[in-house]
Amino acid sequence: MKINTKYRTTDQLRAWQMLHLLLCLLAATGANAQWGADLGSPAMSTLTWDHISTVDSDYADHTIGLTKNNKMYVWGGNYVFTIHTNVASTGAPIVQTTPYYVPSPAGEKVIKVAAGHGRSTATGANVFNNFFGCLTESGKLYGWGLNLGYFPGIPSWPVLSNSTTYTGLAPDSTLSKRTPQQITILGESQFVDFAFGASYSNFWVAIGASGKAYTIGNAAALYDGTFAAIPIPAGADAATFKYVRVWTANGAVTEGHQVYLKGNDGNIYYTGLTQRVSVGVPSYYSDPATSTYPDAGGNPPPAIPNLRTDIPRLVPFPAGEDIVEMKITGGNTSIASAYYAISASGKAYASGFWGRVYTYPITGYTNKQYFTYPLAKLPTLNTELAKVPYGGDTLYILKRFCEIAMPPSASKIIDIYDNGVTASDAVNMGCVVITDEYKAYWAGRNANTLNALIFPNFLQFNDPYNTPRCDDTRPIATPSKTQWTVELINYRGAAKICAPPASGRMFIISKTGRGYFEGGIKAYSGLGKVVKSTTIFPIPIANEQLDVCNPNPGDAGAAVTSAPAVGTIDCSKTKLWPAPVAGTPSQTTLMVSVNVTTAGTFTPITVSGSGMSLGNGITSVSTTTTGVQAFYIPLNYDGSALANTFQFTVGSAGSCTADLTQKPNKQIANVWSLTNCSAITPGMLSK
Amino acid sequence: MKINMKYLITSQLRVWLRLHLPLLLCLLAATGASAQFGSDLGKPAMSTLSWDHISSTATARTSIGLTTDKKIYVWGDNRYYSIHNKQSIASGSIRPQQQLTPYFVPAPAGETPKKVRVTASLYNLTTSGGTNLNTPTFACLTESGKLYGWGLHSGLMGTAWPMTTTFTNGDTTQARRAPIQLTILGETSFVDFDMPQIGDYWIVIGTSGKAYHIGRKDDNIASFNQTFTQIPLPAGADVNTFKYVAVWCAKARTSTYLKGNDGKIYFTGDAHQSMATGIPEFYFTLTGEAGLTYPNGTPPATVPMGTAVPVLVPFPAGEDIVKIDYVGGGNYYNTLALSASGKGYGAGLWRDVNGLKDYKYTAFALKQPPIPNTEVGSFFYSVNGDSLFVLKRFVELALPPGATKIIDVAVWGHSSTSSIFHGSLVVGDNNKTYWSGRNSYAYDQGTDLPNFIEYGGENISMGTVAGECRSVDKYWIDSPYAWVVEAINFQGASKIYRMFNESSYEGGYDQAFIISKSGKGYFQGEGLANSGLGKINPGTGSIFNLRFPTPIANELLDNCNPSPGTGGLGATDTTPAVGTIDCSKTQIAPAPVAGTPSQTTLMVTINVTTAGTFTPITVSGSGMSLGNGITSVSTTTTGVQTFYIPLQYDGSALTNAFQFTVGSAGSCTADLTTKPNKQVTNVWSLTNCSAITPGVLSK
Repeated sequence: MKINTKYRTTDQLRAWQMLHLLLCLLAATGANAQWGADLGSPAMSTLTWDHISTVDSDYADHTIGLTKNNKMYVWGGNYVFTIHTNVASTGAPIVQTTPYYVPSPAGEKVIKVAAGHGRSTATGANVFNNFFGCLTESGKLYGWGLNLGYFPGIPSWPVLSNSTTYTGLAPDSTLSKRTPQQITILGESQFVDFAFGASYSNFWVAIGASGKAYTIGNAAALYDGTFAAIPIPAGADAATFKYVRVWTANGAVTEGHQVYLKGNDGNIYYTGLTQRVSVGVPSYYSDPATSTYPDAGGNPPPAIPNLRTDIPRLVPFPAGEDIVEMKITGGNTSIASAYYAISASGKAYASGFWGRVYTYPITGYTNKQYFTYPLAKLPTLNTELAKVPYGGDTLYILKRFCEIAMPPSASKIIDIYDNGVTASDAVNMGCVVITDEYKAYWAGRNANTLNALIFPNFLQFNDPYNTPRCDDTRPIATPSKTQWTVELINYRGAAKICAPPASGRMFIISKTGRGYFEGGIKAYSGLGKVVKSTTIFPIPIANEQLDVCNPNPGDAGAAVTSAPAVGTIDCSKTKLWPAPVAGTPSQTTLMVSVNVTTAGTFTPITVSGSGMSLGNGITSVSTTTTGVQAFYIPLNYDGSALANTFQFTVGSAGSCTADLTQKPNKQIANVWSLTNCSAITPGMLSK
Repeated sequence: MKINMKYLITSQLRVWLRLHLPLLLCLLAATGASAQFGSDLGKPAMSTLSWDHISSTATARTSIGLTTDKKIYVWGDNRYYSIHNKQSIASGSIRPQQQLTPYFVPAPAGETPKKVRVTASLYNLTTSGGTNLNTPTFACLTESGKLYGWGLHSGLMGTAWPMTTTFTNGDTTQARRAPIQLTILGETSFVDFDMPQIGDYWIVIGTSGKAYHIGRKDDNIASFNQTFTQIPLPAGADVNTFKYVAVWCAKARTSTYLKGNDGKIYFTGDAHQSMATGIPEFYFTLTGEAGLTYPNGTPPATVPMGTAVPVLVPFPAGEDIVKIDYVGGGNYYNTLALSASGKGYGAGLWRDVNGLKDYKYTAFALKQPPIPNTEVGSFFYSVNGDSLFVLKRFVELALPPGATKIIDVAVWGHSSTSSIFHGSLVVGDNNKTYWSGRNSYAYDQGTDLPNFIEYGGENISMGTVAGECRSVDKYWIDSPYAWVVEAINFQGASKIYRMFNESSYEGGYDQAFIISKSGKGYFQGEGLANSGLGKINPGTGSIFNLRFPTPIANELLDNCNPSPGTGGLGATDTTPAVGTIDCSKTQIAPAPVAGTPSQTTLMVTINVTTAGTFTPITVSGSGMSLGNGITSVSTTTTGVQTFYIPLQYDGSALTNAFQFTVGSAGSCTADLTTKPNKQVTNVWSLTNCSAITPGVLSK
């Protein structure tokens, strides 16, 4: 770096500082020259997410996220001041559009969070029944927000009168709790899991350390404002059986009064509404044409299930499969619901709606069929598959969970997302899986309208099954029963999709933990502003640290993986090891000695002159300790003439310049020449 | 970094942010770089092309861009087959297949393009052909001075090829899809040209210094030059020596700024009711419903471009104007100009203080207070309750914070018929963008406040009203002499190209392209085929509305793109390398001292058969982890070579379970309980290495 020596005035110094800032920014952008990297980077939150839970309905607009370092953040419409007490001149709560930090209960490490909403309580109209919940590593369960009867028996968080309508913009900040309140259920205060139900299904479930699954609320006609235990499965040993996990259609707007439970026997059990084609309990298969249960043996499930008394039924999976995740579509009619499961071994399963075969080609299309997920093998008619006449077409419905096909080159499926957009008809249904290569694949059929267009790809689709259209993405219909054919390029790098089922809006968490939103933008989106818009590309969650409207943005240091280090280079101790052979391109290592006074990361690093450049994408060096230490920086030498203008900078520690025209010296050092080093064959990773 | 657990009050937080923002931004920039949309999510979806400039028109749904390596790309709805002759069938009828990612157009043989434009026109088809679908017409100027046109000729291309007067559905023969060299009144060498986004005209300047006009002459569409006509010289100019050298067309009107070889700027065309020409004698006041008075001169007549004499636009002597961002006519608007020395200038609507609606805003910040009467006029417009401050001539802008130069300016307002939505953006040489003005009541405006933070219809920065933080509606800034709001979403920008909804000024489409300092192109606003985002709303209802900068889509992955070109310079930066590790040649040097945390280097020998990047790298066992954030090793050559991977040793016991993987090259395992061997190596112990003191950077 050739810089003028004559900077002496303030302006010159300012220019020098500017240069440093530019260097900093250049270092920041590197090769990743995209939005968020080369444009707007400071606008993006640096928080990294483990999971995010959101609720959106006419009466709910709130999100909670847990970071990878177990910190809780909430954002959203702040209805009834459930987030903070900031109030507009109108008296209404001020919305919170960036992550707002909620301190964990003292001494507790949060492991699961959820946003909840109940459309009503026993007496009806308390529509802004908004709350949050969290479970800690020590087994404590907490809730906060508005308590309209879903959290009875908590002295610090009394149930409010059901006779009052708490409008979302009510100018009374005393109604809601904004810090976690510990929950005790029927004397039990230790829990292993919990799940809030869909907005209009008005219930939630907690599983105690005792193995009991507690529910409150229940279906509309059976509302009860007290907790009760869900029965154990038929034949289970009451002395030893325990429930250990629970899944609901959390976040769904429409009614989805459905629960999957996992037992300590490793089995999955189902309780709740069954008029949803097929929840995976074969005897509960409901023929959508006749609304009957042909496989129930004359003993159909109750029309209005009561979670307090109905016996959960076994959901068969292949023996030995450890199911770790269930996803419920949450639709409000029967034919278009699908249910998904993921096993610890990285397999995905689906039950319910699979595909549709049309009598005539799909409008604007030559295909006569689409399938919302390809299967590992074709299902067996009658035992696994039902073909049902439907409006002249044929619906394909899986009566039990069948294994989903593995996408190309993947060895595991790590997440699955229901991509259906309307549950009222089997027209626009889809499914997205994410693989262990962090690629997302889509199958199904999308819709004709903007709001229903949930084909998360950036390209107008060139349909391989048709003459090229290339004009728009409607409708796309993947006809394959056994193969994933469409990668979602926009989602390359995704690890997890957190979304209310069938909502058309989602948080995408990348493999590095960054959070992105896609779908209809409201305060719960966390994008820093509320606009009447539906984003069809992933937008990063906004940087809470720069939001002057955020009363508690939390500790940026918790989000940033490394704090800036402070120290001083000792230029005279610099080594290039081994010394490059002039004219021969090679890699080498620049060893820089720095007296570190504050541990952290030195960035940017720059080198210049003598054909040297930073190697292997390095942009920083980091340390967790202070004191004099050597940092190892890989360099690329391009074979240029070695000159006296070799220079380098290591963050704020300083810059050095050296003469490489002099002869290197011999040095004896302890080196491990790992001649015993042996190759590892994939599949045999250990020696 | 410990932040604001104790700053529980917004104002305290604000103060804290003001104090720490630069540090925070730098920190964030340094640490967040590789973990954002386009880098850790969806990166392959983004185009690798780097743009020098982009020209676009929503009216004809078409864009053209020139890359930094001088390649031409076009994209849009391909109306009239102006891009390619691909067809599709929609609703049973044949139509051009849309082109939603950049489509490579080869430059004329031996020519290097330096400027490209597209314009929308509808004259000929409207008046002759019974259609009102705007046609796209492209033009390109090369470094050798040759000028080319292509697209559909609806009256703007003279005799270059036959004009289209009627169009039959499915006819692919009318448009020209490759550049056709233009000769204008015998002249074949040119120095500049410009096109409006819409306006049914364009201007070309020959090497002779003559400026040529073709097309519409004024507001009346029937007033149309069907052949190129020479624009008169300014009054008093010496016909022997005066030359026009540059031109900037209004975005949406028949008016134009020209630059002479005297360094001066001249205006010609429609000045009807325009506050923003920067010509003092055109200043007018609004005195009542539709009432105008011109205290400084005669109301400008509707002057026909092509025959009217251009009028001097005063700028400070010696200023070399390189850009003028002028929307067009209408009672309101401001115009921004940029000089080669990095100064910005503004004219037209500057401030509005409204007593009825309780807002006041500044459309752009000035370096110093303008001189009353000479530079600024003010009047009260009782109809709307506005006290308007209008700059009669161009006045220098304030520099945005931290900048030593302004490198781009963009008019950001969008209303010709109202004073209430107007704004400006300036980009500093620190690649930070600042905004001033007032945004819309309706928060569905496409481009609105280009920031990600909610503001509450009050002036946070000036501290006059408590922040409400509710929305970005009606947000306004009244800071006449300082830029105070950074458009954080645009940090890193170098150029901003704001399109205007051309056909009606309001109720149309708000769109902008943003080019980052590394040349990547982003779109914000209402997504149509000219956005280049790879998809558009397929439905017939509303359109996608992008509130955040969205990268132009990767043309290389668009299997609908018949001519995607070869990608940008960054296209290959993630090519996976292929090779095989030779585990037995692995070294760790220097050998760590057991129990003493340190850094060291893992040297891995690989026979590389395909150059590129090996990723991911993993190490495990014996307390070893990857050092210094390294995630990959890269090479540009093949053959056996050694890669240097910094390791962090945490001082744990050294065991026989040390393992590492280098991308697809393979994995190795080694026993570190063996004793290291001594090795003699050539090392530069750079004892002559000396510190560089800031300000004294050379040795």
